[in-house]
Amino acid sequence: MARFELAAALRTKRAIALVAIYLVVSLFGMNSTITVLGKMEDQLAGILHVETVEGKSGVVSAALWKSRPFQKIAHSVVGDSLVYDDIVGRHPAELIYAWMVFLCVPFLSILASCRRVADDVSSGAAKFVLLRVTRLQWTVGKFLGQSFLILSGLILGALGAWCVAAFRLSGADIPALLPAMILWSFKAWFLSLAWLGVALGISHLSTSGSKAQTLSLGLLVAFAIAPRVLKLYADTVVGAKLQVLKMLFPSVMEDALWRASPGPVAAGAVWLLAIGLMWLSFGHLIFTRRDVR
Amino acid sequence: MNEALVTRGLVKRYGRHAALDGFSLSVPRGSVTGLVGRNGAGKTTWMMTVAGFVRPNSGEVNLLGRGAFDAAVHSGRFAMLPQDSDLPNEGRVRSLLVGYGRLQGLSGKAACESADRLIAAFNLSDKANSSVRALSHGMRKRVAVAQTFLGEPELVMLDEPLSGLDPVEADRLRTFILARRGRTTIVVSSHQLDDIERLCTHVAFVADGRVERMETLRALTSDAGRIAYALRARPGELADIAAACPGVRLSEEADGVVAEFSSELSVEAVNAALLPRLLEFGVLSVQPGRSLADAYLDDFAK
Repeated sequence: MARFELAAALRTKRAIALVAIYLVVSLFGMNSTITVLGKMEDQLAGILHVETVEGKSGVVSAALWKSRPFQKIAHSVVGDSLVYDDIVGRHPAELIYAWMVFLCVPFLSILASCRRVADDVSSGAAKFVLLRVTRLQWTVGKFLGQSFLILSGLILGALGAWCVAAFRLSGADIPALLPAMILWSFKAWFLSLAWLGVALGISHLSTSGSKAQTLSLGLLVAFAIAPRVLKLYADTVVGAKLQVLKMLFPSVMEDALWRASPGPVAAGAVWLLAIGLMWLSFGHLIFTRRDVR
Repeated sequence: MNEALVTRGLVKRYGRHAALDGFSLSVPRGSVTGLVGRNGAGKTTWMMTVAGFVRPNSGEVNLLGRGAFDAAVHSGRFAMLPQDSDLPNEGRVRSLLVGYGRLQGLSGKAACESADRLIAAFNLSDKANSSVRALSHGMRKRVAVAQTFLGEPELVMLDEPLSGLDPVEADRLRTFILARRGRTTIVVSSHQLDDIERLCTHVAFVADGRVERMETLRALTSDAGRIAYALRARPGELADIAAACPGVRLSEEADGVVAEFSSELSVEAVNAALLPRLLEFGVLSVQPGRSLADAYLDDFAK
């Protein structure tokens, strides 16, 4: 069923377009940030009296971490001291890629998957499949198929971004960037599993693709705002009790994926998978009690 | 067990409206059973309930002797052509059929062979690699019908299989279904009573969410004392002709005359008395009994 879903998803122009857009965003994003990085390097090189290679950046990337403005930017982006300690000294291109992929993955997952079930049900295409597989197999197959699609997109994005980095940056550490970027892609894939669960879970509840998409995007916004709201009211009695709700939001677990040591990353990945499966199970449970007309 | 499908007292309500109101039907194994009824009678809802798409409020379904539909049990043994359902637009005909075959548990080789056989049988060979989006409505319908016969299932339900097909393709499908009579149990829902009459061994009249009458086609169409004579020329006085056989009432129809008589008279006796009188008007055909359409309209719909 997963293979059938993956093949079906690949045949839809929508999935291909989304992966292509993601690829363009990662290439363009990497290129733009390297340009900004180069300008920062040039300024820093001027201050440190270090030579730069003509037309290329990255010679002083290690020294960049000594730049106070860069440290401040990095710290404010990360927002967590443990994470900051883990990423200090890493190649800026790698971190930029990681930041970009974590930013894009929720949108990519939601937009690629939120209509997959609802569209099939509303068009009647689901019936041809549901005569052959159980509703559980269908749900799991959709989840696995979509997750492979996202993973493929992320790996392609990493390869593309590395090619841009290799073309634009200089330095002996460029080859080492590729496995690092692919590792970030895998970490982002775990984040995508949570969002996939949300999107597909919602899609199971809806009778039309448009409704599912609106609802999923609404949840994306709500999940971005809710943890901040909960944080604001953390000191109140009710607010303190509601803090547990944070565990349902994929974004809250994102920090764990930024860590270098495998322990927190594995814990975060498992929790994100659990969040995804929880939303998926919720959608599936409703779906099993629903008529497919 | 002689029944491929048994449903007892199925009830499905949508608010106050009962789409199924005690729908009970037994489908004999190897039969081609036609469902006949007006729009909203409950034919499609019944099929959807049997296929597990619609959850009944009450009642029982026994599909191939293994209880209510469960894909884990019935996949590959039971198939259906749902009404008004679109195949995935992006799918290509052959790969879609192979994919469905694989989903129902066929090996890659068996799925390919089955798909190729059906593509040929439904005259889709030149469209095997076309996307569904590029097909006409009739061609899509043929693909949708073809998918029901993947892997030779034991029971097939077809909801309006002939609608949208051109005469040649409709005839091809009728021949395909007739070739399976006795081997595959087939349930057909259609408003085309001529098609039901040509294809089916059994017919169920459905109204108001339940089966009002279920008979063999022969019982439905020949249980009335009626013979239709198609004539080349208009007959003269019908009363003179009818006088040859007391107890027979003759009436004129567009292409001849119809004799109606009580069950005390046999078809043979009425023919023996009337045919010599009718021969001078050029007898083109003698059709004992009545058509399914007449049976439905006379006994049931009026």
